[in-house]
Amino acid sequence: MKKLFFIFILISSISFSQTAILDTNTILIGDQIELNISVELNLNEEYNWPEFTDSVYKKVEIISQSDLKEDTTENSKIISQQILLTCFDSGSYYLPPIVFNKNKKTEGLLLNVNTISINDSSAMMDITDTKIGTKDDYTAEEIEEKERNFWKRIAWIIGILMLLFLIYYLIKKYKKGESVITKRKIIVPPHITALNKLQNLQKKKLWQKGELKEYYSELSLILREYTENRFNFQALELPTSDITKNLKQIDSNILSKLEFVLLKADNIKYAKGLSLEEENKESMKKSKEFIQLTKIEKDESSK
Amino acid sequence: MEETAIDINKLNEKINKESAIIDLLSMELSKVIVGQNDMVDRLLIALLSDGHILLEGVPGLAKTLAISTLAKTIDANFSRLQFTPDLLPADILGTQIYSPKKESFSVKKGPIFSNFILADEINRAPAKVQSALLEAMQERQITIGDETFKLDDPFLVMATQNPIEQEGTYPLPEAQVDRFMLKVIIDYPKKEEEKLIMRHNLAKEFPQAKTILKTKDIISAREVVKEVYMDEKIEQYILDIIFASRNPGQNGLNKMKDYISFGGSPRASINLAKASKAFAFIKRRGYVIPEDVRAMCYDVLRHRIGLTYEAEAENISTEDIITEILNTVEIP
Repeated sequence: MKKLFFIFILISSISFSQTAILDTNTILIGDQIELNISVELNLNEEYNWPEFTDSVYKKVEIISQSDLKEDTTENSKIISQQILLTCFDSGSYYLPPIVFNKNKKTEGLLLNVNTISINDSSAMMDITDTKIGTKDDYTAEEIEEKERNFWKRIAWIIGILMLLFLIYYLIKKYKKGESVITKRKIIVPPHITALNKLQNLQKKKLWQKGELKEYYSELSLILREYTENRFNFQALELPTSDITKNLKQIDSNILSKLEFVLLKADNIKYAKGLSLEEENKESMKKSKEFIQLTKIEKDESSK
Repeated sequence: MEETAIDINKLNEKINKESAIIDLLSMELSKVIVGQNDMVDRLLIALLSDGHILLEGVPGLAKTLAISTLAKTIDANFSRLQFTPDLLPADILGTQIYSPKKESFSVKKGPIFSNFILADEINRAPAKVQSALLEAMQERQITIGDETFKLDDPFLVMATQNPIEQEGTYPLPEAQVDRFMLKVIIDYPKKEEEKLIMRHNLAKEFPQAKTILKTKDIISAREVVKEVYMDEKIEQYILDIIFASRNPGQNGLNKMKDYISFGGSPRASINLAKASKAFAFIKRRGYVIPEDVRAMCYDVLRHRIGLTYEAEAENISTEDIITEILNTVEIP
């Protein structure tokens, strides 16, 4: 008998005519849940619908609430309302019963708000993945795939950066007017260049035409160019005295040949100096001798 | 063609004759001044080119002694002006003084009315005093009241600056420092030279220089210096150097581009040419060669090239820039 009574009480409590139901009792911080409130009343029964402002209970906040809905049947009326809730603080919250009149009130509800746990595995999380949780929330396959995706992304970023750098490099080269494809340079030994230039100078017959200054200017230039390339110092920018100082290591007889021509050239270039036919020929001869005596032989250069 | 060659030979002979005064001067100066050959050479170059000279060096390097000895050897007047913060332009130039007896103003000429002026520590006086001196240096004349007075010839100003103790000084503005033909940096004497200096000072009598020249000798020597031949190629070389200091980027000096705020003015070209001629003269040559230009380049350009903050931050000096210019500009 006692058992029957207990079953009756249980059934009556389950089928009670006022309810307040949450979508779920456990949410993460900031998640939204719906609270459905409904009450069944006799047609002429008095009730007092509670007015919700910002929150239902302390930190459980109301985002929106629907208007009251009233459905009427032959003997009763059902009034309902949906309220969208959220909470930004973790913890367990007890939502107190909603009282409609002295006979009708809902049960109290428990809402658990969990925080989001952050650990090192979050770095490898797919941000597009809506599944949020700790590494433990994923299977081994999922973690492996996520790691694969992570490295794939890194490879893509490196690839894009390299491509951008290449584009930048090509644009810069193009602007400078340089050829991207470098041509192989043919290195002509300085003595060959100098001797060819002396040959050309001789062909011009400048001093024979009375252009002594031009003749010695060119002769001096050829010798200084040769000296610069052969002995690797800035001979074009140095005066005669400094050039000879830089060539102290070579034999004085050979150096005197260069000195003779350069000093003669200086005298003609800067002091309106004159020169005899024999001296002009001698200058050319000494220039060639200096080059021949100081040239680097092919075998020597390849050593 | 032959005629011009003869001209140069004649000029060489003339210079050999005229430059004898250089030997005489150098001999007399060396009796008193030990070492500092570069300073003495630059002093003679400024004297022969009708320019002025700015010396920078720590105290006690014979700056005053050099100019006073020079004045003594040339039979010329010498004034020393010690620049101080309370100095007034009238203290240098002179002023009008009222005579109650005559009931009129009379002109009292200042110490600037001398052949050789030593402006000691020029950066210690305020701008108005510096300006008064520098204007006189440029114009070679002074106006006191209504009267204009021409300054003596030769007129050489040797100003000194102390590179240390910069507090409370008035650095010369670029426009005024440009009026000095040369800026010479003086260094300490060598050990052997200093030993001799010490002995001179400990001796009973300090050596004295004799008067060996008249001011007219200097004036005639200046005329010969003007005749020293400068070929178009040397002119081109001078211009290439000055233009490289102005537009380093366009003259293969890309790495110096960020270090130069301004380059040499036309006064730099003029003074480099003048100084090169005088240098050729003291080397007994009737024509200028690139070596002369290079030798004078540092003293002529040192104070005429402006440095940027980048240069100062990276410890780049004007000397470094000049060296780089000389290593880049080809000799024609």
